[in-house]
Amino acid sequence: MLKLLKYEWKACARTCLPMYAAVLLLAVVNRLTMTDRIQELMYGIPTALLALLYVAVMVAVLVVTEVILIQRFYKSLLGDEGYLMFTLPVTVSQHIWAKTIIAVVMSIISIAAAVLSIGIIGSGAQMLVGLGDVLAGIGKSFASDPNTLFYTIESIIWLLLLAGAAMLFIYLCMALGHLAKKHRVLMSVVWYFVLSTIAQFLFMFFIMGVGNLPLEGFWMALNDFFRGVGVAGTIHIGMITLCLGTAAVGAVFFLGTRYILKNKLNLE
Amino acid sequence: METKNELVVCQGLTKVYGSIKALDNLDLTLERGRFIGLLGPNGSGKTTVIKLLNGLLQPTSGTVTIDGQAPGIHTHSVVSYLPDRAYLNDWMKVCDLIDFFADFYADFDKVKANDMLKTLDISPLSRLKTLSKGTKEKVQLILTMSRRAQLFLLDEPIGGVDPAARDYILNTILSNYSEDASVLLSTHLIADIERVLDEVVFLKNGVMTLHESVDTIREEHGKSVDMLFREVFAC
Repeated sequence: MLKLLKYEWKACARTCLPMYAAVLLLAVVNRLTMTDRIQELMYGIPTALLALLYVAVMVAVLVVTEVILIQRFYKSLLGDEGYLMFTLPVTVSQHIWAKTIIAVVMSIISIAAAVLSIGIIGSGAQMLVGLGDVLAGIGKSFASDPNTLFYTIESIIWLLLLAGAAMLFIYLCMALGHLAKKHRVLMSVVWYFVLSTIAQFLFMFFIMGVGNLPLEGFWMALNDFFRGVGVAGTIHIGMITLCLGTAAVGAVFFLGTRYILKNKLNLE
Repeated sequence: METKNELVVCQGLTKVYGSIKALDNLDLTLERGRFIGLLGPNGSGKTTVIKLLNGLLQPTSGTVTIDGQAPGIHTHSVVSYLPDRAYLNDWMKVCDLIDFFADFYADFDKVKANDMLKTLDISPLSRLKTLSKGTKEKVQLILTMSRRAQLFLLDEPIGGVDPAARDYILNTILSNYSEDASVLLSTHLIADIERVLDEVVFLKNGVMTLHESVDTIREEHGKSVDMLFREVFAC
């Protein structure tokens, strides 16, 4: 499993990390040209171009990261490289785990690179002071109300789960698309739209249905219960329910993908 | 003793692609310690058989077991497979690939792999992308043959390489599998490999038409496998 993670990391890092480095470098260059004297040079055209380039690269980074992650799954498991990967003495679950974990990690790094580069652009003496204030503020609120710390942790866990589930959803669509005899990539896209539409409908029905169900007693009880645990308790329960729900949905995607790759695999 | 010697058992193995029957009800048992040629014209189902043995395809019906088990982790760890296509990451260096194989396969012999690379004059530091098609195939074959597997499944291993390398490769295959291991090699270049074969399987339109030892063929039919093949598959 660790070996799979290692190779998956290498495969992603070799294209992603240079890209992130480029973003940071461009941010530094942009920052350096943000002095008055340079901005007046040639009516500010070079500076404007640089800024434009920077925005383009930022967008590219986030999009390309996503594309690379999707492509990694498709090529290395469903393309010719699948001949190698699926004949390794490794379980299908391990393959999916390795892909998902690295995908989540890469997404985090890409966002971190984007945030950091914005930080560089906006950096200066005030920025650092401001950052210090923000950190101090966060620290103070953690100290004054430990719940804040737990909210933060819960939110981070939820975001991680959400990122993983989102990735697994795309994997499931690719696996489903792979079941088709022809036009497998196209079918993956079709599955993506079909499944996301179904999910939306289900969600809508759920919201509408829950409101209309004759569950007065249940709602009253729930209300009393939440009043009993207080605001903080309610938020905790809400967050944990959200985490569990996301994890459950992710697990469904995982099991679906695994079932297909294990029992229906047909590499041509 | 007889049953213990069975390495591969296919029962009623059938694979249908859409309306085409690529493989029709194959019953085949292969024993250990044999060099078996899987022979047939293009599109006769050779690659389908090998992919089914590797679990890369799922049979439409029938079963296949290797070393007593259905394709899975255990069979992957005892089968060394050379596909009919370029299946390696082409951005990796040859030495990276050796590490990759050594990492995942406990039976991989790094020293042997490096020796073979040296003999064929392939630099471990070159990226796969920069190598010619034939050289890539040599690298793939070296990786495959550097394992101490029980079963080697080689799909068209000599199709793309020059005749000089072909001899070296065949010798490599021969000298690299142990007593209790078997080699199943698919090809249509029969003349080149005839001298090394123990037995042959003829496939025609997904149906096995012959499974016999080479000695028997020579005795009973009084001709070489190559000649028999030309006769059976005459157009």
